[in-house]
Amino acid sequence: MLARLRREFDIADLVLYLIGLGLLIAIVYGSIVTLSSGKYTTAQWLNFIIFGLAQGGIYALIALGYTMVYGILGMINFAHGEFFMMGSFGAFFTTAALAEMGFLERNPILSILLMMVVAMTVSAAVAVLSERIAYRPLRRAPRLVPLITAIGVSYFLQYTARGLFGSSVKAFPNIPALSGAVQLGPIAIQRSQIAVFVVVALMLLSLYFIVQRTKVGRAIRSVAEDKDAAALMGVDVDRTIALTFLIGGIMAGAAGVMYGIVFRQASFWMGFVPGLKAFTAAVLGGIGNIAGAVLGGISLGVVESIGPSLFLDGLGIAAPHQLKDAIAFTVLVLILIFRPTGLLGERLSKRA
Amino acid sequence: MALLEIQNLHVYYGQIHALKGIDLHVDQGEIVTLIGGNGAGKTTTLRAISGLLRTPEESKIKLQNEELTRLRAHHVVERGVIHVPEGRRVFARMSVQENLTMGAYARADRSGMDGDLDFIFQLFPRLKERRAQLAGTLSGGEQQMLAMGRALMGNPKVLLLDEPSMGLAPVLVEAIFDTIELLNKQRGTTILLVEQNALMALQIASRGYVIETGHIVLSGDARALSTDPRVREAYLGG
Repeated sequence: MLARLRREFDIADLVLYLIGLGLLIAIVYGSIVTLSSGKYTTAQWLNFIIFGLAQGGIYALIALGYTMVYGILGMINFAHGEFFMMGSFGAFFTTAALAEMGFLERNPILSILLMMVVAMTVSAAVAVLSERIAYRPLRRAPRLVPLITAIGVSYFLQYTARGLFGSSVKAFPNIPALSGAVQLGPIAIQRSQIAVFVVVALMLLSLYFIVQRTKVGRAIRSVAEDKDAAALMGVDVDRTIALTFLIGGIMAGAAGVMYGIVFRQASFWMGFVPGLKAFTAAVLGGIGNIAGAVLGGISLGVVESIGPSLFLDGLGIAAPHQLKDAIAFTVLVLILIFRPTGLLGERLSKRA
Repeated sequence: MALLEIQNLHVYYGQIHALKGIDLHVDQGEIVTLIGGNGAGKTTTLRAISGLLRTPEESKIKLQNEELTRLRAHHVVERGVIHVPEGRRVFARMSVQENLTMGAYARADRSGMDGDLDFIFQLFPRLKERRAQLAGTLSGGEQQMLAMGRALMGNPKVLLLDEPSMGLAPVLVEAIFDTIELLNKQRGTTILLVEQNALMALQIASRGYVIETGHIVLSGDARALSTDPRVREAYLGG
């Protein structure tokens, strides 16, 4: 009897579930205390959510690169955050130059488009070159090898950016068309956030269309499922993998612009934390799953934005907003423990 | 003249010499079968022909006298050599329709594709019924039909079939072999068939090759092979 019980309830599992339960109680208790204290107004909560959605949209764009590369190569590309950083620098230098010329004031929409094009091109180029130079030669190496290489590429790009652009934080010039807020009933939405929503929605829709409805998208999905079978259909596997990096890079570049618009800064280390967060988002949604990356990114953004106030304020923690990164990575750990396949992930099964 | 001609085909897996100089040819409109036991090199031969494996300098693979040797797999497909791999390898997360569309990936002629799709749906009505269904949810027999339909969408000059009967119930094996024969008779599709089920394969083939540990040990007329005592003993259960 006891032996059977021991077999079914492994002591390690029990500890894990107790930790999970403890966290759950803390979250529920904290939330109840916060909400009943009435410290925040409804409008403030809505603002947290809107900020979280914008932040989450940026995570989602970055997370797509992680998830698509994982889907096609089974590899975590830890340099992906740096592709985002490089794109953000592209956007920064573009706006700085446009602001200098006065073009930014006169043609804000065109300027933003130009920023997008430059950032996407830079990120995509860095992504494709990294694949070609650092990852492709290791395609048949053991899994750990490309992973370590990715960390190497990540540092290479960080310190290249530091060497080229210096270690100071670059401040984006003010874009008048995107400053200030729009009043929508009781809530004020920042214009920059509206821009993020529009761009993220357009990028996600185009990606969905490309992956689900075009020949290129079918090629990507076929390579992700079975490289040999895809090659036997006439798909150029190497080109398709490069193309996946290209698309991931484009998404990261767009995220770089959005980050610049919302936070108005760029620096050589800016890829690290958002990169890890986006990776968390990809795992949260189910790595390899495109819809999962979007869902994971947006959920993570919202949890991170409302979490500190909602869960922690009521517990009497002095500076809850300093703990938002802790919340994000607690989410990662909990997901890895309790649902390793993520929200939308399927059971990982080896194909015959 | 041989449509597909293989001369002195060698394949190495690291230190292991898997194919030790295979010679075989397939003429226009023929069904040729390559039979042999497990690990004899049947699948390796097909994978080498379709460009999935590297071959050394001295090996030659020719289609209508044009060299295919050392072309990468997607270029071999463009020349019209289409390989239905062992274990079907359909794209499980795509619909039946999308799998068939993937089969025509290397093609540009729309009208020919539409005609082939009609033909495939006529040949395998089950695929038409299930066109919107995910391929991973099909039964083994249906997946084999899909794998063959997908290959036909590529308008093959030569069809390479690897173990189409594997893991199927006897009734389905009959049906698949009937279809192979029908394809050959009706459309004149040239087929190189790899099988463990030597008896069935020799019944529909015109010629056969017997492969053992990377060598062709016997070859000739299919009927003669099926009565050859050495073949009967080794592959047909005496």
